[in-house]
Amino acid sequence: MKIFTTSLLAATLSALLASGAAIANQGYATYTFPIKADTTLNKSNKEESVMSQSYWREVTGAELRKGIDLNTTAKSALVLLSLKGSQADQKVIDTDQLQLISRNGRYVDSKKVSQESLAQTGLFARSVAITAKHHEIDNDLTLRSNQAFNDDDRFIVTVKESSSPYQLKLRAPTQNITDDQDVLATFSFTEGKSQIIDRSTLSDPQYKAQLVAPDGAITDLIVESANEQLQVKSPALSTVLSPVHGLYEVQVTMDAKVDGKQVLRNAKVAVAMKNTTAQLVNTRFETSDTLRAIVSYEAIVPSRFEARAVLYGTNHQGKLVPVAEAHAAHDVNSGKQMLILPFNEEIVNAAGVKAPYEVGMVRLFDQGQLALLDTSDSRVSSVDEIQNNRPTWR
Amino acid sequence: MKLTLTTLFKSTKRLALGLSLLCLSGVASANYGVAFVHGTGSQNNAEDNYWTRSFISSVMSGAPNSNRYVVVNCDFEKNMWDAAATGCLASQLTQFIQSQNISQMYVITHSHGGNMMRWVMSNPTTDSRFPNIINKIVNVTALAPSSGGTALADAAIAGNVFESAVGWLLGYKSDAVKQQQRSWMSYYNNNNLLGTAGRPALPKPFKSVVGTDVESAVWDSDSYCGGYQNQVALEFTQNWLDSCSDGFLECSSQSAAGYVWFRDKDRMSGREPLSHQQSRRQCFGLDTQLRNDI
Repeated sequence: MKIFTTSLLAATLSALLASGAAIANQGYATYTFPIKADTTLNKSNKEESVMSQSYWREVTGAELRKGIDLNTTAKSALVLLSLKGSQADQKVIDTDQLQLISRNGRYVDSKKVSQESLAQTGLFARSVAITAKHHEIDNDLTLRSNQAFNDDDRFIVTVKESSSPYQLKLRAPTQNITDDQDVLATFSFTEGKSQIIDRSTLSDPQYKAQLVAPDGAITDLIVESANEQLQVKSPALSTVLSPVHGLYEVQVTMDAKVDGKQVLRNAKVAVAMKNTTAQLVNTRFETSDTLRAIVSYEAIVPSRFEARAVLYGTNHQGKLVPVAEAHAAHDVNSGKQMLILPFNEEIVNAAGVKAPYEVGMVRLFDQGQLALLDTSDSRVSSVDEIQNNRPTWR
Repeated sequence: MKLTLTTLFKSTKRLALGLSLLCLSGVASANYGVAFVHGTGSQNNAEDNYWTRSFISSVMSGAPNSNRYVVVNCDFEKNMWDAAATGCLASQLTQFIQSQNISQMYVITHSHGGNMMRWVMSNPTTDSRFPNIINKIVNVTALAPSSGGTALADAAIAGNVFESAVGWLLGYKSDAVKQQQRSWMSYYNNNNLLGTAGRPALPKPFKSVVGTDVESAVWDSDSYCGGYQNQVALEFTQNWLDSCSDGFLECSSQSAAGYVWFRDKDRMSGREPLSHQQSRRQCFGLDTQLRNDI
């Protein structure tokens, strides 16, 4: 019965596809487009790493009036000061009242960008910027405002030190978090881009890791030592917000003394979490009439699911090269389902490839969640079938 | 019988001729249109407020029909997949295609508008209007696209400025700014968007114009193109970025998707750089380059 249904649907789709590369209606939609033969395709579980030479921290109006130590470790630091308050708050930070003061208590000649000018970038509102005009200025700077802020007014100070040797490296092994993933991220403190600083040489090091959800909810994360690096452990979350709501951020803060000098750093990396709503069962590749992949999967809940796959063909040198990618999506209820991905004949002919063909890089998405649910990196030829007894992504 | 065959032959010739003329008239009536897609922000009059009429008029003077264009006005503060963002974009492009019978569409985007167009071209099965739009596109010229995100967005969002109890506390109330953080764009590029390294190419050409520097000298008249205050702000924010940037985006971000058509100094008059503000203005011959290309 399953085979009959597959053939019937395949025949119907073949007839429809004769007129073009795309079929789209309210329910079933497919699209095929060419891929250059020399394209090297990444796997979806690619790692992401960031290097930070900056930090941010919250300060109050009282602290700002008194003067805050910027804890700079190098010359030419850039400082952003942003007012943290409700949108109804009409306060304006006055750059004329803002000063940088050197270690010996002298005012430092500064370049400033007003709130109005900075807003022109389209990114910053209620923020001003300040930096020393002459970059040979001593690096121990204090930021002070003479403006009449309330004691409990809140600000975010962000300091960027492009010429500092101290960097916080944060690495997520994958941005698609799996249910059984133990480590969300690792981080280390480096001098230069790669020289990891031995933690035993640091005075009073403090580390903090948090997970910030798309709705702003914050979860403290456990940090453990792992050789030279520190590991951020995955939390047990009662609810997960899928990527359609935005991404999670793993944020790490480090505060330590290096050779008696206080060094502050923050870093953040985005990751996605999702609810498992379906998983791949198998993929078949039919070449009898037109080339098409038939992706079977098990849907746990109703949603709109999409399968994507890459067709490989044999070039003149006898090498398998990518030829086309096909997408197919439909709205379904729970249960066993399948999606047929037709590879447009014109695209295949234009690529100048011939048999044998293979299909690979099969991915299953839940469009309702905007989430990648499952992948298979195995290749299947016309006589094979990919079995996904144990999905890569769950 | 002979007469009948001759008649049939003549009729067939006439039919063939007729069909040929019909096809030719179809070609002749192929309508070439241009769409202007703005960047981050919610627009209701992007023609005046984002692009300026003089810029659009200059660009369109190179088109077969200088009136056949659409200036998109959508809410690009929203997430790329939001109905108010690419949903709105699809509506306005579809309306343009249908009302003007557009058969070939040249798209010009600026900044985050490039990501919006990439969303449409990368996710054709998510919206039934997307495939027809993709099929009509002949080219997307992305002026300073934020394909790889920007460190400025990272800074703008620093410090948990979104708090669940009260919403946004700092900066613009904008999902778009969040999305243009570098590691966020890395996620979208690897999962939802096509055209970056290690990913399949986009179904249609996506070529970028890269801004490489910002000049804001008081004595230099070039610094006033696009507004002097903007240049001052961008020169500061440029320090937040790598040495090659337009004050808002690093060159690597602008070059991350598709291919680079040209870098500003290679084609602008006087080898002037284009700041992020100037890459949507009539500065240093940018409009002429676009005019000649469409």
